[in-house]
Amino acid sequence: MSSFIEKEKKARRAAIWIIGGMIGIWIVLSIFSFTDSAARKRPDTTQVTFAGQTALRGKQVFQAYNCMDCHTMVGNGAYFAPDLTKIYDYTGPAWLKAYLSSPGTYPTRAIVNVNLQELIQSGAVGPTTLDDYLAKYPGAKSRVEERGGVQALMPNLGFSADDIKALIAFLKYSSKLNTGGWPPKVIASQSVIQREAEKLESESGLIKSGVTGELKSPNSSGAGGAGSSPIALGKEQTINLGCAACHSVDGSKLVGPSFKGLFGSQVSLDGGRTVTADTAYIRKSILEPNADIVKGFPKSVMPAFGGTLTDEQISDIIQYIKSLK
Amino acid sequence: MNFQYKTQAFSYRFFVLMLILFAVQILFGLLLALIQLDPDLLKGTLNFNVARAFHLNLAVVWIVTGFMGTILFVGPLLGKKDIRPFWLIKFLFYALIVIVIWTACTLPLAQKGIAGWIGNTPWLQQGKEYLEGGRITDVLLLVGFTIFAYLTLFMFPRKVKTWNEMHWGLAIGVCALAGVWVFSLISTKNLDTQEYFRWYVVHYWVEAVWEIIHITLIGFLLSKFFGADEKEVGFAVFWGVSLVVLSGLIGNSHHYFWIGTPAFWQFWGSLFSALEPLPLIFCLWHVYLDEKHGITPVENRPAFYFIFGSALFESMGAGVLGFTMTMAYANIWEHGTWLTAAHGHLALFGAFGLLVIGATYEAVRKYKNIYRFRGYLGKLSFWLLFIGLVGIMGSFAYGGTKEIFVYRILGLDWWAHQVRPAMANARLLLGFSALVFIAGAIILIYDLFTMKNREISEEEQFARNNKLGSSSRISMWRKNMMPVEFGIWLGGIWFFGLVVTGGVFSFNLHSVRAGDPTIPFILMGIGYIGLILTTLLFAVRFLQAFEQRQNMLQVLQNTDNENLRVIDLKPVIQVRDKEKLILDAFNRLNYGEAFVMVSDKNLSEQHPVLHKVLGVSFAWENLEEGPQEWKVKIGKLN
Repeated sequence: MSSFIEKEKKARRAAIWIIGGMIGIWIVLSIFSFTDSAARKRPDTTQVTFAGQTALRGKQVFQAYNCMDCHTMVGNGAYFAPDLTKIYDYTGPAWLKAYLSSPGTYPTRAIVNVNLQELIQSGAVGPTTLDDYLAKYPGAKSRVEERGGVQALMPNLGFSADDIKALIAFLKYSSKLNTGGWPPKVIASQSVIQREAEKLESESGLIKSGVTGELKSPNSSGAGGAGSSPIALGKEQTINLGCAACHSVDGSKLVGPSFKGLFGSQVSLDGGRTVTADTAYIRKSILEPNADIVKGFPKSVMPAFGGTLTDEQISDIIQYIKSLK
Repeated sequence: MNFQYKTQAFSYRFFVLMLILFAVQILFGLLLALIQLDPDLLKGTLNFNVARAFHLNLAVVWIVTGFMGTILFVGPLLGKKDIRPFWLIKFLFYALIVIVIWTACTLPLAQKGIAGWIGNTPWLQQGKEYLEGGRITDVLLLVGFTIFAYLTLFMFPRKVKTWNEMHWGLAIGVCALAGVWVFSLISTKNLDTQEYFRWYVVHYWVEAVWEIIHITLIGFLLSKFFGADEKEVGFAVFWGVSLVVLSGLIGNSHHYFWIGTPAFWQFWGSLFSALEPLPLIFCLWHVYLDEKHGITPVENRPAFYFIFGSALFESMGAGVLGFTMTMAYANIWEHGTWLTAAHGHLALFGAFGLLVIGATYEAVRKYKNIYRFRGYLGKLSFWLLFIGLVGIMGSFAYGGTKEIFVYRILGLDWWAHQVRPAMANARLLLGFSALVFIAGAIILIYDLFTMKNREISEEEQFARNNKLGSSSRISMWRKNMMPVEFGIWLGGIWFFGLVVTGGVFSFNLHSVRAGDPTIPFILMGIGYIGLILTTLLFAVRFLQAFEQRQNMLQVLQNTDNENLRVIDLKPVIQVRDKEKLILDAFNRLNYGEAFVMVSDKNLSEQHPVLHKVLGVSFAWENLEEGPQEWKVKIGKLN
């Protein structure tokens, strides 16, 4: 019996020594975890910026909205919504800006374009055409083509313009993280992916939106018959542009004010002024959305549609809004 | 109240608070399952992320509250003295309530994007999974844990040299509870360091520190229940805790594979975390051994059910399911999918939740001054919680398997129309399992609060024992479980665990990555279903044998020792003849019957002999211990 006790004592002493050794290995590994080497440089949230916002502030916004308890980030989180680690590389900043402005609906091609132009103008991204942008970011391309104008599951959180830029900066930072090969690359062929996707989409009862994202002019060949009335054309423009993502036509409040009963109504603005929503006001709101912000709505979220729409297209849209009593 | 120490009475209020928090937590769980089914439910009012923050934080808090209750309940028995001052326990209790209410008020701020940033410190809430509470919550909790560590250490003897392994286990546990929590106060600017330190708390704190407390408490509770030898339990506690540290310290780095930290972690993390199940198997084995120690009937069978369930789920949920996904080549597929949640629910509620519920049963019984009570409601709730829990696990495993294929292999990322439909059936199963689980929880809470109604008097018990009576045959399920059989069950659980592991690994196959999920779907289908069924059947088998053993111990309590057959060993000289005589007499017994051995020598030497010949399914009661004559009553149990 006593030899057993002796043996046990020895074994325990050995165990404690081994644990001590382990702590040593662990400390060394931990130190090397965060030392930069030539082969490996950690991105830094204070260095990565987007449109004047640092990734550090983006990280703070990301945490403030507790994004992690729906999404995952570096794979950690709630698995209730997509992983965001590499989303910047996948969809690019213009798509993200368009989406984050109104997360309830997927942005259309036109909306992504308007955002892209705005980012180019402000110098946040270099000059590029929409087609080049979509070629560079396959996620933006497929999402615009397949989901443009379709409802998304994410709630409208009412991000401010700065929040959005900061979040993009943070997602830019996270895209730079060396995640050791995770998530693994997709190597299945497009035909297989397409086949499975269609099967699932039909199970979900998806009705393809039919939103083209293209703008139509009154003279374009596609417009004929009933569709050629200004109101019908205006309606089509608002759908294709994706206005409906933020402006409801049934009076409910989304990101922006509803179109219903808007025309001719008294609108109180930030700063206490009250104006009548007439043709001139609506035109101005389309061209310079931030000039007059309606009370209770976020600033700088709507992009300016100046270079995108012709005068005729704008008046069609106004005619359409006018018709929504 | 029927407590040796006044401190123990304080545990009751902690257990009541625990049950309230538990009830709220699982209601949030049900809500999350409903939002999974209809993502528009409560959108804008109570978003999924806020509901989930409540679900996670309450899970941590109610189990910690349960630990506090349990330690207040067993601590004085271990330290053999009361805590002073009592007001500090009361203060801790009310402080806990204040912290919970404060945190509940701050978590919904996430919907408005308010974190209370001052510099880089989020004071109100911080949107970090499992640690959603802000810095104010963290600091208050640190104060609470420090007070608790002080209170626990106060109960222990001043002379550290006199401590046994259980003193050490609990002391290390409660100090680390406060010490490791300090890492929750760290706010770093970069994501990789933030995630690195977040796992210090989520893994080292929950999985390692809690584990140490868990092993120690199980050891102590079992030694109280079955009178297991303190030295043997101490042996189990030392090696259990050492194995937790040995495997877990570096094993924790399975969280560092893909968060922006270097790739060398993939090697170290895979290697050591693959060893992490060892202490958990070791713990289950000791529960098996200890259960056979008891020679007086356990008066609180539901409590043992839950403690056994805790060790089982720790082995199966934390151990086996953890193993299936922990090595880098498997983890790369599993990471960030529902498979993690399958493991998480069993590892947290299964291992820790069930243990504190078991302790609650015992504390409530003592608090309400109940000696014997009918345990059928407690057992019913145990099985409902058990089935609900493995159902939840199975739902997540099923959904996660589909998710890996759709989301990782095919790269589809349209949540509403591609990923969700693939997981539709799993969500339905999840909702259904949640309902079963909640039914179990309702019965559990009802049973605990109305236990007095089911109290039985000594006479009633006597009548019940007589009614049980002896029997010549019992079903296979109720027979004594030999170590070999235990090994086969455990082997079965591990076999299916390895099948699942193979399934997760098979996502690396070229054919699978090219878009053919047949191999992982078949392997994981067989593996998970087999794992669930084997675990369930093992639990039934184990607890049926336990029931039989306890019933027969009760029957034996009733037997009139005067009328028993007497085997006189005095004239027998040859050891072999003695053994034969005993064995013959034993074989002639019905289950629940006994004989008496009489000898002029100390019969305790015969105990190991009987052990060898009869296994461990016999009852041994000393009727007379020398100096001229030794008398032992031997009963047949199962």
